[in-house]
Amino acid sequence: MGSNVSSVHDVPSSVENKNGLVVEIESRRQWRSVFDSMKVSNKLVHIYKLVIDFTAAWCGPCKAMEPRVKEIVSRYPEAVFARVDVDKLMDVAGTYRANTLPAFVFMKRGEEIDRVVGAKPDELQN
Amino acid sequence: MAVSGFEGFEKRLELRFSTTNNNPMGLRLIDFESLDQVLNEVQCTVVSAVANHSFDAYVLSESSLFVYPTKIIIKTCGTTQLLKSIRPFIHLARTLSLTLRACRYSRGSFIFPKAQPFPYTSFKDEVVIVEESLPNSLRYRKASVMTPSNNNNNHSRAWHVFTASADVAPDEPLVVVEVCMTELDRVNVRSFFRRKGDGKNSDSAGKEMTRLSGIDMINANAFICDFAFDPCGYSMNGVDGDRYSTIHVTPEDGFSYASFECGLSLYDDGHGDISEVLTRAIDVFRPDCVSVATTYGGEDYDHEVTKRVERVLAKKLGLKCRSRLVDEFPGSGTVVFQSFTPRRKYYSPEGGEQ
Repeated sequence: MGSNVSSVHDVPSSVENKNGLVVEIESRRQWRSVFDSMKVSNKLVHIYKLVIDFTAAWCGPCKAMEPRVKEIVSRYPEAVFARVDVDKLMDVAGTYRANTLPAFVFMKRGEEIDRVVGAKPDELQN
Repeated sequence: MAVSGFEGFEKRLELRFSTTNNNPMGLRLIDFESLDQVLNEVQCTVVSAVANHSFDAYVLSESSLFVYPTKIIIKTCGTTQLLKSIRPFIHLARTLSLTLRACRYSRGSFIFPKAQPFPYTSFKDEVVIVEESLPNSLRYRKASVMTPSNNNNNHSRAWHVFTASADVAPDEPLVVVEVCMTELDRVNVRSFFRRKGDGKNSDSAGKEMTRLSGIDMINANAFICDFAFDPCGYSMNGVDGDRYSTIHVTPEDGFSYASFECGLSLYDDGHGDISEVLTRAIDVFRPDCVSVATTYGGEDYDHEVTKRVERVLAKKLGLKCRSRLVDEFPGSGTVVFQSFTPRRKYYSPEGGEQ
């Protein structure tokens, strides 16, 4: 019980924000708590729908996509958008085979249900 | 041939830089807003984009843009003002301590030459504009119009090349192949028209075209970033490690056109050799007229490769090589320009078939 409560505290409070923000994942610990929040059926914080936005500092196409991502995020407040820098979290990028960017991986209940690769604003919306 | 229509034939610009700093990202550090501004000058925009560890690939409203750490390739069709991008690109590179060391401008022959704006109404004028935009350090310059000397006026499209380089020795390790196809097979070309009420957006329609046409099989290893235009037309960039490829299709009858371009190595290192790649790409369109311009940048030119391409295209696609021209460009290497038409359909000036 105690450990569940502490993992809830590790998740950034922006997750509870109804306006749907993009959470920047800075560390592996932060990633772990976001990922675990999908699996644990916890009444306080449960990330039901997660969109992982794989990006990199060097990715021009990612920047080309940014304005559209912000627009889409605000339209889907029930989903959490977690932005992962592939250079900072190489193993997470590796697990999800994010070699071609930008890559958006759609997770529901901890399972990958879809992905969109490349800056394609229309497809992301669907 | 139609009286007027969309110009499929592209203008292609390649700029190569050397670095005076140690940043491995090089040109890829140019921020997207700046790139967008340059594209604005050229009169096109980004419709789709993708990146991997080696380069950035952008599909434009009128063709493609590739940004490598020390190389930019931009190819645009229609009536775009491609040469307006030279000065801004050089300037942006300079802010990253990158110096221009070579430039190559090339194109085929326009289907509707009179519809082009200045300076694209004459290659001489284009060369003047390019030269004015380049620094004096690019001392070795050459302009050439490679014109096939066969009897058939309908099919003797010339290939125009201008190169400028700071060094005499070419240094580009990859071979660049530029294929231009006209009079596309009317059945094959149907894939590139959007079906009415298909309920798809441009990207999933593009994916469908890639699959139906067989373009996904040209290089099965490549990730394809595709886009379908409304009501017809198609573009794609292929990304495979450090190798790029790009296809653009204007399917309309009367001015149908498709281009295929890729950078590859002559040595079959699992990517398929040049003859196989060309055969697969050309087979998608089954055109009545094809030209292949191959630039051997740093490789020692091997004539056997050229003859092999002709043999394979003849055997597998029934395409007969009607003319072959070879020219040398200081700093850019050897360019081979071949023109093909189907063996069973060679129109003599009298109108009979041979």
